[in-house]
Amino acid sequence: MDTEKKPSLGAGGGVVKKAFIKSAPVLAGYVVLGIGFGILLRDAGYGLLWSLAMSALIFAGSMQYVGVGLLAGGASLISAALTTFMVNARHLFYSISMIGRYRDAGKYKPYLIFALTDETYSLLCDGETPDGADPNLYRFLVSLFDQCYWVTGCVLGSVLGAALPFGTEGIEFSMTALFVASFTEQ
Amino acid sequence: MSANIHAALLVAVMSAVTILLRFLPFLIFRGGNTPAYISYLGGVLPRAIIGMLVIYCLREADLFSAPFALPELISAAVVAGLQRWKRNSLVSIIFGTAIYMLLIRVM
Repeated sequence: MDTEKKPSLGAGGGVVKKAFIKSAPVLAGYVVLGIGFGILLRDAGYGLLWSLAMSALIFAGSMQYVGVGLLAGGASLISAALTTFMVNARHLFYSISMIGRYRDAGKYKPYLIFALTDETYSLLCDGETPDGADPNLYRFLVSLFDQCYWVTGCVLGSVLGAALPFGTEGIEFSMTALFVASFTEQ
Repeated sequence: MSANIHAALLVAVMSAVTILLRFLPFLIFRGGNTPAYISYLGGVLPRAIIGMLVIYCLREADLFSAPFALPELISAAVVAGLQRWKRNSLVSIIFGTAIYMLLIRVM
């Protein structure tokens, strides 16, 4: 293995580490909430691939929990669209408050906008980025780490759901707890 | 099979609407400055919406028959109290959920 570092790699490694440290508070929360989601989805009859697809394509925790009910109940596409609009309308305002900050994000911009969840917003809304690092790369990495945690949790929940030694009834309260904590914090 | 296709379409709709909501402000206010009232709403609305989501989550709690939504209320109070005290969302969420899972089994 070639261990020699290119001049730019040192700075790159630094920004990866700093982004990871920034995202760390979200790690366990996303994994735990994701596991809860994976278990619920599995109990509703939708396994691993569904959990993977929803966490990769929707990437909105509360909407995915609500989406389990939509899938299980065979909701119409119209009611799914309206429900998604109502549950996720708050994202309009996260985006609004990030317009200035993401204006010059270039190639990172589409993913930064796609991945602007409640938690990622709460990490990045202070606008602080480490000295000497490309702020757009830094924000991209924080967003990407967050989605990796989320997808990992959702997949784990789907795989582990059947094997857990205790009943999982009540695990759905983790979503309520997330919102209560977030409301208390603001 | 057709049930699976419908489910896939549901996931696609949830994904598309979520993406649209996240991109819309960037598309609308692409060029010029964001109007002041929009910035104001961006500042005050997230809290109100999170509050609504809390109510939404608790909608099925039954206040008028045993156990009178006590597991929900106690657990939510534990989460809020822990959050004020420790300010660590993860600790609040895990502890609150564990309390809830315990309470619904014993009450």
